[in-house]
Amino acid sequence: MKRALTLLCALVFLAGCDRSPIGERAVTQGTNPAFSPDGSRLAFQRLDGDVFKIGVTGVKGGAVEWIEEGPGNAAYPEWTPAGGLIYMAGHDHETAYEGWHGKSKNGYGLRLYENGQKRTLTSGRCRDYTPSVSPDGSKAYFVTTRGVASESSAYSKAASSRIAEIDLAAGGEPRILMDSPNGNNSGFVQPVVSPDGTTLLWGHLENFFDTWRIYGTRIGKFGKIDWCPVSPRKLAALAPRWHPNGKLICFTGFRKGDPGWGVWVEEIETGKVRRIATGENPCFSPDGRSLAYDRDGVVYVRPFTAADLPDEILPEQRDDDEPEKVLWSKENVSKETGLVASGPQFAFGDNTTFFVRVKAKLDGTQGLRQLLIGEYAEHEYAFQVFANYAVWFSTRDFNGKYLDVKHNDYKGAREYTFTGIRTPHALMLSVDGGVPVVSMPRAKVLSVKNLKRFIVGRGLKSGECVIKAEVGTGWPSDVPKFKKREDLFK
Amino acid sequence: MKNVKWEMRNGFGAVCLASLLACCQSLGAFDVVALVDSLDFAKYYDIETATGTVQVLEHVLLTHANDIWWRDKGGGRMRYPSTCEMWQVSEAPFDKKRLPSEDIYGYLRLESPRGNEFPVVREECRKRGLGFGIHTTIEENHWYSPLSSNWTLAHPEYWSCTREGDPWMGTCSILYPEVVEHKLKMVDERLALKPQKIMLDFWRNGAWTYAREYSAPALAEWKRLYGDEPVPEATDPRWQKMVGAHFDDYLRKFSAKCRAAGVEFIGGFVGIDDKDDASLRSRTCGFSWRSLAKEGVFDAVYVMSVTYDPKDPFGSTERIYRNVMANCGKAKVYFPLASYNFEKCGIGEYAKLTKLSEAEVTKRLVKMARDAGARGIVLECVDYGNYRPDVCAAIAEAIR
Repeated sequence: MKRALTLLCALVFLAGCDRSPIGERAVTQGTNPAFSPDGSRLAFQRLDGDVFKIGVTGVKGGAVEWIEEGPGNAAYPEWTPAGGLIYMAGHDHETAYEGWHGKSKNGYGLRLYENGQKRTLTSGRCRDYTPSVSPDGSKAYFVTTRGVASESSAYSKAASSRIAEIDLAAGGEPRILMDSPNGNNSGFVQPVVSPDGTTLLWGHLENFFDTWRIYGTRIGKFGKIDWCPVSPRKLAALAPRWHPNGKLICFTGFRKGDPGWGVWVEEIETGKVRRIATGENPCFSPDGRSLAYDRDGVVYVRPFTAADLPDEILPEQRDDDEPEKVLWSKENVSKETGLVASGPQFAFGDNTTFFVRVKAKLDGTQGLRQLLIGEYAEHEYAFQVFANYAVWFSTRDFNGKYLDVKHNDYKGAREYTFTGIRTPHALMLSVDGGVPVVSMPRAKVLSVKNLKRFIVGRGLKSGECVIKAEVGTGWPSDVPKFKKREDLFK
Repeated sequence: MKNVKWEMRNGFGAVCLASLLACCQSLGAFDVVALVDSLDFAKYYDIETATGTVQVLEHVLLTHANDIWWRDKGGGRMRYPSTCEMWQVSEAPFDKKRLPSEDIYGYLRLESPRGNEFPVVREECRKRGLGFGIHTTIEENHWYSPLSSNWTLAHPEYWSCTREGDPWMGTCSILYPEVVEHKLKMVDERLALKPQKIMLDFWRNGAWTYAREYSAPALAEWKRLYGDEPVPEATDPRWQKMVGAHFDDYLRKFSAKCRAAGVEFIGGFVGIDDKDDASLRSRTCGFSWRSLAKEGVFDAVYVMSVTYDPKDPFGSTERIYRNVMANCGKAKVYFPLASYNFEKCGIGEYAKLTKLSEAEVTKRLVKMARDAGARGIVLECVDYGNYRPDVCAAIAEAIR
């Protein structure tokens, strides 16, 4: 009875809201719409009771052809250039305990629906979801949890999710392309390839204190140093889709002050943006003249015109714009040494990027070595680089609470260079000039003004020494910078 | 082998329970409260079944607890079918905004009827003569993105925000009336589970801080109060007080709902010392728990940890306990008996500092709480096997 009433209300709503002043038209109940290659139909998912099913209807509504109706759930439909549908499907009905103890292999995998036939592309006790198809129709890109460590700790460094690809014709094992960067509190969603096949975009959650952003890289360049954010920091942004011209994207976004999640459009090379509707999960039609999206469980279509083009650049501050400036250094310390230093140059506000770099000869064994400590009136451990069974760079939040970033590349007796960086948005730690590990984005860090002393070499063992300790501002020259938007389109 | 061991343990538990009940009757009311987070047992028992839930309870009773405060949420994910927090199928991979987890917790059907442990726990507690309460938390995420609240993910318009204007999806701002309204509806949901008490835990705050309370209503209120004066850093006491006043308001309303339902309302706080409120204000959400306790908003206060002097752990703890007792008005007080060393206040930490055994420390801490006039101790929290048998035996002895 309740379901019937809901359906009746929805039908009344659909009839009453057929066309709004901006040309928005309700099509059907559902979410995650996707235009067919010829632009005449929309695939979507609908929640029926507690089951998601996938259907296809005309862009003006009408009868629904159900592709997947259960048992189990199906979601995230995406068309292939040939008119097939790829989507996530599965019937994970056992309890979590049964699954954990090996009594279930059910998860969510990918299926391909072509010419009335369904083919299972991937399966197993994992989640493969938000697939998209390469422009030539040969591959699907998707987010997967396959192979990630099953650790739930917020402090786990194991990835929560990965981006993978699979050949649609040959099938076989998916190839993992990227791991989420900062353990279980970071992850990916909805990878999509540009119409020219050169660029991959995805929703990206960098860390617990961050919010979804859209990142991108060139196809084939999947190392973390090649990724770069393409949506502004001031926006929460995910679920990107390309315009057929390859110059625009649309996505689900939010900026402070908005009434809720919105449909945003961005000019990808310039970063200009515009919010054009309240809704989520937008996609462009194949001719680029319409947008489909959902709001409150209803799929809408509206025209996309010149008046909708992005026109606003949101202020963006990069962490690595300022060059390195060494303020203090000390060489050859083999036992704990306190070195008094003072001056306004050592006042690091919460908006300052500074670094500490320690080159040290260490034996790589366990045991605490506090290689460089910044002792301030505001906090005796305002920052430090220390090694034990791994290496850390730590600082404090505005309340004096401990914050850190950890790097595991600390094994064996040799010379190491540890470079910790504190930016207004993150803590980073690089070992031997490698790609830094990033942690605690957007934590409100402690402003320190009154340096008392630097302490070098606390806890060094016999035969160990700090070859050089440095403190400076700007981006350290030995650490590679993350890619910028302009690098993506060179 | 494991089964035999468990049967032995459970048998032992039943005997202990019987003796415990006898003890309690002779004692009057000194509660041994167990905080129970069933997720911590998910790998050992099938907590999505009634049988598994009873097994969890029986394991918990090995500690001699006589009052059970069952956790109603993991981060922001509810453990019962919640109307307020449930929309569509909210777990990964059905909500793009939620990170997946491949651990067992990532496969639990939270918020579904399958995960509703409360009717089972309530009935079992009734049958066994145990107290039954709900342990809820102020947090919306548990510092873990896969456990973000459904409602928070769906409503960015109420998100918290830094002074620089960066929105954060971890928590909503308490300064939005809609957020308070949502939270109060959830109080109604909890009351419908028919607990005897609800403990609201401010330690598990999911990184909630007034440093991210620069929401639109907060900025407007600042302007109203201080005109064109620039919005201050979060360390400014005026900012903290302004944000804290909204928690006051929420807590008074929370309390009123509990009172109307005949349910006790308990506040749980960490880092308690014997000084004034200033240090606490900076650690939680800007409100004064002592003022609210004196006002009668809290029927009881749970001191989740104390900031004792490591050079005199027992002496300084006792001073803090007595100071708390003297500053809580009519509110009853619970003190901790923590297995884990969160906030450096665990049994093991006291043992390390005093060179006593954990069993001896247990007895000292229980006696200290009783001597101070506390209503009980709280086992924070009872997980699978984390209270050692010698500590459990010491608890039994101490409350005899």
